[in-house]
Amino acid sequence: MAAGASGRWTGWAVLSATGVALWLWPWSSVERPARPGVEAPSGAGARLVVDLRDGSTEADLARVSALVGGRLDWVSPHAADEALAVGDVADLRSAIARLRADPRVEVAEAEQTLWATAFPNDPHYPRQWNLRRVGAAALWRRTPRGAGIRVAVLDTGVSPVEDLPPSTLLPGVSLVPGVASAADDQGHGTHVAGTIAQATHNGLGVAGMAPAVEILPIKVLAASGAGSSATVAAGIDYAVDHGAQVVHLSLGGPYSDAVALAVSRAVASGALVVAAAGNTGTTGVAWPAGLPQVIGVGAVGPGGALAPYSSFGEGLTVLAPGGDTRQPDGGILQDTVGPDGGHAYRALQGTSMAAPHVTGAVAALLSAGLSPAAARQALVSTATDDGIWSAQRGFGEIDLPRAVRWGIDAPAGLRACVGLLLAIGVARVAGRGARFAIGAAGSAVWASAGCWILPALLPVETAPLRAASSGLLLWPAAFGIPTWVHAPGWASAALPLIGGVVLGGSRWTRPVAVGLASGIAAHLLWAAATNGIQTWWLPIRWNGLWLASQSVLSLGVALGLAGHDALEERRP
Amino acid sequence: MRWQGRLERRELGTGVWVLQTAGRELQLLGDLPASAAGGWIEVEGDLAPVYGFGMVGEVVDMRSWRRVSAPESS
Repeated sequence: MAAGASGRWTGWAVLSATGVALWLWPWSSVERPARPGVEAPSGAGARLVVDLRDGSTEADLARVSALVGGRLDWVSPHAADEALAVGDVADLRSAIARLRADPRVEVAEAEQTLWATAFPNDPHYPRQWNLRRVGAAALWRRTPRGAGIRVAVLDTGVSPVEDLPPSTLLPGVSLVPGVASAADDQGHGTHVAGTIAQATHNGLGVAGMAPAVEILPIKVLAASGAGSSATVAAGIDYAVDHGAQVVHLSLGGPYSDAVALAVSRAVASGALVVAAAGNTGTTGVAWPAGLPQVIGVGAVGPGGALAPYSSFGEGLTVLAPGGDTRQPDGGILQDTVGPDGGHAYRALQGTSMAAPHVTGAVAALLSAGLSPAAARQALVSTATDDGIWSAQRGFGEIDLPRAVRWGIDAPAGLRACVGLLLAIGVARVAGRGARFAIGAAGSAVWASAGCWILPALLPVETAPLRAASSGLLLWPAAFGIPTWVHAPGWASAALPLIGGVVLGGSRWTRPVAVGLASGIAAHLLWAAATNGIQTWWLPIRWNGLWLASQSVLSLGVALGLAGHDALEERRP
Repeated sequence: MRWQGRLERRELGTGVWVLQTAGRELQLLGDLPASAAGGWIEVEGDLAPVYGFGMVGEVVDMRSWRRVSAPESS
């Protein structure tokens, strides 16, 4: 009898876990296309569009023009083959009526105004092959786009321009001797900042990778484009001291102990450091990109081949679009400071242009609640060369839809399964019935992974929808406070305890409290195993131990709650 | 120190001057006219341990330069 009950419970658990896994996993690989461009007729225009029969000539067009009392021209030189013409006429309605009766005419109608409402609506976005190539839309749909993340850009300075509003920029600093302002007097730094954070979906200019980040401009290069190792090292320290979670360096030079030590300090403090690999086109990655703690970024052109200028070799981590200006529209287009001091949309190339794609990506992933280690791993593990490193390509080109699946979706599925198993296990150990177990299991899935089927069904571009599709511990990130995810009090057993106090008193809500505690235990267990949460008050070597201990505590809370009054429930 | 080589304006970032000498490429720091691109020039200056966005190799902080031969196209 007991063996039968045990077998039934095991069957329940296995069946449930399998069901959840099967239910959740396919969604993790769904790549929902970008929201379709809605091309809606928007009322009649004043011009006449005529499609003549194929093979029509200029003489036919002239005769039709005379018939309607206006002037018609081929829509374009290419349109002559298709005999598609357009023109102005005095009386559009009667012209259409006359033409529709003419055997030479296949179609006659008023010209319609079409427009696209696709995301993003920045008019030059179609020229940004680079953002489409890396799949930036996955970040825009699935992360808070960098909200709450501070990115230090060490460069020639950063200036607000038409498509990079002042609200994106924090008060910066110039460390260049004799230069007081952090404004960009060159154009390089603002272009780099634009790839990271250009205002997106504002109906203006171009788009950026993580438009909600805060940019901290740190001017370390003079207008000549040159700076010193001391200035760069001081800039890295300044960035970390002023709360930068990502330090961006589209610059390089000879090896420097001062720079290497500054990078080590930055990484030890929890910051990610991203640097351009260099533009020699030969082996030998520039410093500091070559340092092992740094994400060194090489460049590819529009076709995905290594750009001819991109340096390679030891220290190269990943590739990203850096442009190839030999090809039409092959450069990286961003709004920046123009040669005359005004703003200009400039298409540039270089590993300087490649690196900010990676910086924007890690900033967006951090804003989704990933730890620095998890964000870096998500990019590296999902790069196109499938974890195989080569001197020419590092781990390959970044692939952001895969990074989102790896860094956000897959862990959620795993957490859901573990949470569900823990909840069922707790109910089983406490001797609870199936109804209690089902309630606890549902709550555990919700607490550990949320209703993350949502992103497959609709755009989760608002904070409440992002929260609804995330585990409970990731809610702060959904609302633009990613640092809260990593706060010691949040990534702990405190929430299960509070849940127990609030919900544990009633037999009706107690399964929910047990599920909450089990789900959070699962999340903390996952975080302990993967450094998926990095509590900022602990050295990283103690991080896993802290999270594991909190997971065990949460599970203890779940067991305590489930065991409460269990005997009474079993009593006939 | 002095170097001679062909001067090239290379489209990297907002653009850098590169001197192609026999055996190596040197990035030049200093003002040069666009008309000098493609020509053979002699540069006087010092190798400088400079950080920058050019990253094409060693950097020469240029004190002076002179044209040795005009660009081929002229």
